[in-house]
Amino acid sequence: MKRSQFDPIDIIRSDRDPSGVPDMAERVIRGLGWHERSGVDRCSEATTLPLWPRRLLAAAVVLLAVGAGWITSMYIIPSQVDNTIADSPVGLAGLVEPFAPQSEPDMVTALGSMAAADLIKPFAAIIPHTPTPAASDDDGDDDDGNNPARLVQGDQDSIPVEMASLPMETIRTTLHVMFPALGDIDGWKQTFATAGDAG
Amino acid sequence: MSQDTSDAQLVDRCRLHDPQAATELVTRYQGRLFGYLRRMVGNQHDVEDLVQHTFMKAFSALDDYQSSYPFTTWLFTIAHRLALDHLDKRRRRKTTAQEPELFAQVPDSDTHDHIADVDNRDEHQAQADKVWAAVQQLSEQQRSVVLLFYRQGLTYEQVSQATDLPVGTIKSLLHRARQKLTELCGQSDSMDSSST
Repeated sequence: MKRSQFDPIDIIRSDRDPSGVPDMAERVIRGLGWHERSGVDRCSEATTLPLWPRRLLAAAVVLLAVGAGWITSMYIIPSQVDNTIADSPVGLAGLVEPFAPQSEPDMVTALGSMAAADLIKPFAAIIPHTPTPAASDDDGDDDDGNNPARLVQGDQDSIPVEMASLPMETIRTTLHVMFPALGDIDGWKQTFATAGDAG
Repeated sequence: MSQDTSDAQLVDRCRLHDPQAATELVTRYQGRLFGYLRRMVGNQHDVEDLVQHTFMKAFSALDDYQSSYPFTTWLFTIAHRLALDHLDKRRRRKTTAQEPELFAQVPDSDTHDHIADVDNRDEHQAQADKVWAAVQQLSEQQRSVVLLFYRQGLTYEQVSQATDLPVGTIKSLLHRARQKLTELCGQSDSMDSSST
């Protein structure tokens, strides 16, 4: 019996695709090494935003963090240090003493020297120093009863230092150790160098 | 994952090596790749390996993917090349003589030897077996464009993209393939009539 004619193309079109294998996705992912996912991947999964806004947002966050760090280092920390020193009853020398290395005894006396030489003036706003009341007229006091060669901790221990005996480098080192957070160290160095040279 | 998620969105996530997006795309398209590659290559184990390699190549080379084409075109472009490479290697290993045996392992595909048994099946299944046996006798290029155009529903341009052949060549291949299929199925029909 002759069978009815049929169109091969209709047969091809009506063919059904197989379902595949259940573990194909796992095999592919394992082959690609995509099992370990980064934080960026997880972040991208959590949002439907396209890639470029996410990158823009990340850049903005980084800029904000850098800006906040810069403002903190330039204004907030110096201001706090400023207040700490200003509020201290022992003055700058008293602050230096606990931190001064044993090998650098001149560090403490350098500050006294600066005060004595009036080099402390650039720091007048942040470093209060209380001159010792005159004990007698022959101890080098000026007319106001202040002894510029002494930096006094409160009303007691003073640190007499001969200005001329201290090298300028010691002063610079001392300042550098004391005020790294205050920023304009170079400007201060210049000020002291000029004053030192003049002295 | 939602079925509403578009291929383009999943591809974007695959660029970030998202395994869930890759899983979704594999789930969506592995059946079509199996359907294409089993008709091109035949051997079930080879087909599984080729499907896996197709997806791996597709995901790892997404930088070369042109989003102006559907993701399926990208998949079939890779699958077509892998299939031709595989058949070429098989030919060089001088195993082409085993091809009828390999295709015999594929469900729904058959050879002339098996066509004699079609009286025990329903008529539609018998016709399908004849057609697929005839498809296996087409050249590799004819077979590929027939499967991509008629079975997978790609356009002339997409088939051209997948096979790297001009559209005019695609149309010519399809025309000759139709003629040959009609001829082969007519012959087998005559063989069936004479055997009954």
